[in-house]
Amino acid sequence: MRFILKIVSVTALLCSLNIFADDLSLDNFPCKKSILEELNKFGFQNWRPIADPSMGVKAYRGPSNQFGVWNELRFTEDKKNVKLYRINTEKFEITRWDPSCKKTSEEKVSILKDNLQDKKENWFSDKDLMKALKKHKKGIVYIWSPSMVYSMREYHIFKNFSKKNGFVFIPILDEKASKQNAMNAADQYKFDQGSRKLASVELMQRTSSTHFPKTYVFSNQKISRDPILGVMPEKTMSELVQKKLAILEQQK
Amino acid sequence: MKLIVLALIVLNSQISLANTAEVCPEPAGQFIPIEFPKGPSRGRSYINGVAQPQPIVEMEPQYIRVHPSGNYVIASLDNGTAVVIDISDKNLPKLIKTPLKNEAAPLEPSWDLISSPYDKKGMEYYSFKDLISDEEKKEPTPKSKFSDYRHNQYYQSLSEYPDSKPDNRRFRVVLFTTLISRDYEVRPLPDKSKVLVNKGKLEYLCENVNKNFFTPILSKDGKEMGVTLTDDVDSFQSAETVIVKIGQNGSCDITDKIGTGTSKLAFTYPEQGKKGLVAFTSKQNAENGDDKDVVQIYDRDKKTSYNISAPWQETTVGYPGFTQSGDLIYVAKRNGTNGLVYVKKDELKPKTSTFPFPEDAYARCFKKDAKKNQGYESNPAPKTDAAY
Repeated sequence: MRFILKIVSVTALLCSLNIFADDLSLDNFPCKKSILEELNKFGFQNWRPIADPSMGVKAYRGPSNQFGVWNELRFTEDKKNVKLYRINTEKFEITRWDPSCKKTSEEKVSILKDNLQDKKENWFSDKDLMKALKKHKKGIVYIWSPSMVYSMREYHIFKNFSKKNGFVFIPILDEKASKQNAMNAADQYKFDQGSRKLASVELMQRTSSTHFPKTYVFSNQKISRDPILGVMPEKTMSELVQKKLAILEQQK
Repeated sequence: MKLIVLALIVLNSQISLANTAEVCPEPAGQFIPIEFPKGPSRGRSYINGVAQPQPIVEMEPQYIRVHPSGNYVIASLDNGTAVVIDISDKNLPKLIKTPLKNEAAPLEPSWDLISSPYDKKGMEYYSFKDLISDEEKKEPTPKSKFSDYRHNQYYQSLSEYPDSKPDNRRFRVVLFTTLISRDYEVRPLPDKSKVLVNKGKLEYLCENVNKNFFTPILSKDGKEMGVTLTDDVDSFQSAETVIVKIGQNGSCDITDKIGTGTSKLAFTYPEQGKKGLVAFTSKQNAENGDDKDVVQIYDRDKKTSYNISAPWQETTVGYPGFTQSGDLIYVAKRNGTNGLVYVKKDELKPKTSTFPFPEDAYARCFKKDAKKNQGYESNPAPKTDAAY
């Protein structure tokens, strides 16, 4: 019986290590057990490093297992001080562990909550993303900005590519863009003025790059973890979209 | 035993006092408020098919490029034009109207020429001296020195070769798509309004690497290039900023990996025995709100990055660039006012704190209402001495 329990616990440990295979392991974290307990409330997967926020502090972002909830884990290089941000459209939870593994938590209101209450703007939220994923078999989410000229100039190329290849095309506007600039861009580059502003945790947290356009591919209710960044010749775009679809296929 | 407990309580209260005594740190650098030109916005909006009057808006800065002296900045504005901002007197910044278009980029490191893409004759090259000497005039009169219709795209980067001289500027211009590069030799002619230009062949950089690169930015000495590596088959990530060393035949060798996706890089000027710093903007969750743009430094010698801008006090930031003396200038908006932040070299240090995470020192200051506390109490904007 003890042997079976041991195998089960080792398997569980290996599984947890495997989940951290994307460059983040909780091994050697003195508070590993408590951190995992907290992370397991919503689950965790597919971590990606972001730039160190301060000297000697590492940071990673990744989705939870619940749609619309993301994690950002920060820790000092000695792994004795750890901070977890858990983010959704409503709130921003911060949990800290000190070197004695004492855990403290606080909650803040997410900026997105305020944004979504501003009815002067037309926002694209996680609910809208979920609706799109359920409604359409496959699609391309194209996030553009009036401050990045190529994202406007190449809008039609992405739109036409989507149409030609059976993807629904969902244009979304940089959340920092002014309504006037967006309308000007649409007028100048001759595309619809109907882009909604980005207010989706799922889309915002997926990359730390500030570049536009950011393009995500979705298929069978799953959306690519990482964006296709920037503009490119149609042949390259086609190859990258196929690559994203193949990754999504593996996740079934 | 009671004494030990008492001593522990006192010690603990002292630690708490030390922590609570820590004031909310001021952001690094000097904020220079800039009143950008106002004018009718581009394009038109329609309601029920009827074109609406174009509102008068302040043109927001989209990109900046920083002069080696730190006295000038070229700012591309969201109306598709670019201005030179003279900040030699930081209390009275001057705007100089230019014929430059969006994404005007200088020849590094001399700034002898400024390139302006998608101009009338393609990529047009202006003399920087001409641009700033005409500041008294109301209309943008400087004429370009030469142009290139074929080698012409936005997001261009220009850097001189080591043997480039004032009487024979030798440089490379790299374009965004597929890293197409062209060499130029530009010699001034006795009639100072003209130059003799020798254009080289178009060639691709980094063909040996066989990976998708974009957003190239050449280092000040032209020997290196910051690029975004996208969808690397060997990497789990789909976009990572890397630095490559450029070989004699245009081959590339990846030397530094930033480890994540960022904006375009800005290099420091070469310093003996050091790889130097690069600056960029990237996204992170901040104490006063999720998913903020933050100006960061990556120390190439120490292989670590750290925040420079203050995400709790600046609503938008971007496009950092270094001066020759190692100071940093970036675009920021504080309390709704557009401007530039000038950070001296000795302030470009990681923030230190008694807290293990430096940002926690100021996190306490912004607990009640994250949104209201995004602003920063700066002095009122002085009147800009604009050439408008």
